[in-house]
Amino acid sequence: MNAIESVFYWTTALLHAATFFLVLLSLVFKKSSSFNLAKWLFVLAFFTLTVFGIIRWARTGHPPFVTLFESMIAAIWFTLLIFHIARFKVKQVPILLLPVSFISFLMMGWSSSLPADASPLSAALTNVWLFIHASFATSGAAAFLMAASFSIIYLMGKKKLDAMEKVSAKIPEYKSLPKTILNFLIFGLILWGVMIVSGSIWAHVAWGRYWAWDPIELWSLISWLLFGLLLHARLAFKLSKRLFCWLSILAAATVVFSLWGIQYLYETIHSYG
Amino acid sequence: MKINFASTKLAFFLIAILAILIILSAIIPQKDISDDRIIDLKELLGDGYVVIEKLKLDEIYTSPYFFILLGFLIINMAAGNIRRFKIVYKTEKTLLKARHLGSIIFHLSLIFTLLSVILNYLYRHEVVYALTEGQALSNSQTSYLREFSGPAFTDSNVRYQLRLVTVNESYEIEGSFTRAADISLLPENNPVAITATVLTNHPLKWNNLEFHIGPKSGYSPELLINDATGKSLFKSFVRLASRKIEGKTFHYDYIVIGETDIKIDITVLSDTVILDSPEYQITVHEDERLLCDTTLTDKEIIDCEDFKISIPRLRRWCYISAVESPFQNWIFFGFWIALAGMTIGFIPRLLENKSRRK
Ligand code: HEM
Repeated sequence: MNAIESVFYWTTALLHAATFFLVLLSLVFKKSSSFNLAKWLFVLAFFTLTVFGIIRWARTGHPPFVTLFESMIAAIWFTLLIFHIARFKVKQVPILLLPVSFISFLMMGWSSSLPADASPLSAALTNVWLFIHASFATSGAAAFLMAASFSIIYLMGKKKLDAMEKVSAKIPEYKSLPKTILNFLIFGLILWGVMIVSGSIWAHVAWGRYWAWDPIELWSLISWLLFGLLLHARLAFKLSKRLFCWLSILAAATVVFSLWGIQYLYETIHSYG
Repeated sequence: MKINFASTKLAFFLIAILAILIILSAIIPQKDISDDRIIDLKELLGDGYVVIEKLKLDEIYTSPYFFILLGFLIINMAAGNIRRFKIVYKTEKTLLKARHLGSIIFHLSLIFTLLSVILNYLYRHEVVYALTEGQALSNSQTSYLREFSGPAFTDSNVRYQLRLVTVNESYEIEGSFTRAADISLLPENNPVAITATVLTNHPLKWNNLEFHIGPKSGYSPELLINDATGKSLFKSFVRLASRKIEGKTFHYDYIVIGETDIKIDITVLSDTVILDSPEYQITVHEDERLLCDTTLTDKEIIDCEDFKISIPRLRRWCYISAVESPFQNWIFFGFWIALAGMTIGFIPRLLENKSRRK
């Protein structure tokens, strides 16, 4: 990371922290002014992170997907992007500021512990499939994280949410939350699915095998199947809404594991760069 | 007991078993995929490992039950979806609503994809050659590293000899650097060899085969060991494994001299441009007893008790795999269409959200 990148990176991290603590404050002291401020800080965080990404892209000559650090930043960026788009579309979203800012704050923290040096692009990665693969992996993860965030909100219960309602100004449609979660799950399944095929096409071109049960391939398929199961459990068997929410948080955890947890456990050729 | 093949409960059950098997395969090291972890687990479990072998839990993806499971999944998915859409059609008189259409396309394409996966497995052929520069192997030999041929694969390939000419660790392409191998392919019925540079993303295509460079490579020192009388005990290129530890790459391996208890560890010491002036750390053990531990360059010969050890030449090695994967594009195609179907089915959900808010 060079000096300018550092400035934008740490500003983004600070903005995340500030957003999260302001939301907490507003909930404890029932102040809507600090909630509104938090909303704007979160928009600003998206802006500074975008600038960070552009600067890094321009400096390294490739989109910031390559190292572990970059892939985490990309996922945070997609999470913020989906969040801000959804804010225009879905009523429940403002209240989501709490779990989303919390999760992305955690990920900012995690990313700050990783080596942030840019890695030269190895030739395995100079392929259009890389860009499809990596952008769908990170955006898919973002969609699943959004579903998990919704689930956290749902599990907090209607009473707590009603108390927050004064703060967040908008009325969360509590009853329809599981449906929104389901939609994010399906959206995530599509993105994650594109990630899996494009990854496997890329693996074929690069290494001559389309599927080798490498730990990352294996875990991302597991995540996909788990979400598929969850979806059928909800659609076909009317799984209880609370259990559905708990399980979607659990399934999102497997996504986080397949993207960023694997290299702590296995040796894989998906070495990020 | 009568099984209802169209039941969604069965589908759920089957997908769950599939997921569990895959999770198991993530925990239990699989043959041909994580061989070194198998050794660790064998040590850990001792005789208990027999259970894993009996149940074929160390080769889940090629075991019969895995394919039986996929078969059931296909039948179930087909039956379940046909039944469902019959009912939908009876009540709604159309299947052309985006939601149904999406779901039909999705599940049918997934069936197609799974069938292609099975077909591809049956007809797949893959040989991985581990070659040192200058070395040649033929596809009629059995000395290559690994071979896999599906049960339905009939070898119609022409015999050929594959020679690795050189390995280049930093071949420049479009501004970035990669590993490349110059190979030469001599088919039995051809007077002239086909030469090509294969690199990541650029295999050599010949007949039905694609020759790919593998993701790993390393160094091959030529180890010569003579006894006190000058008789040769060992003379061969030894492929060293490369391991990355804290960002630094180490090239190391050991060999055991046939029918003796002599074990020789070789580590490459120099880490830049080592081909020009390599230096090695050599340790020799007989049983547990250390005979010598010394450094060695390519110009020296060391005396170690009764042995004379030298490494006159250093070359590189890499993996080249020859792959025939005939139904692979069907798999990709099926999966893309499935995802398109999922997207078509998803659109009305988005629109529904919108109209609800109005
Ligand atoms: C044996 C296999 C399968 C059967 C019998 C099956 C059956 C079904 C049924 C009955 C539904 C409709 C539920 C409803 O509308 O209430 C459905 C929907 C769905 N299934 Fe499957 N399924 C199978 C495998 C899969 C797999 C492996 C996935 C991928 C993860 C998957 C993804 C989906 C999706 C995304 C939907 C929702 C479509 C929509 O409503 O837009 N299915 N499936």
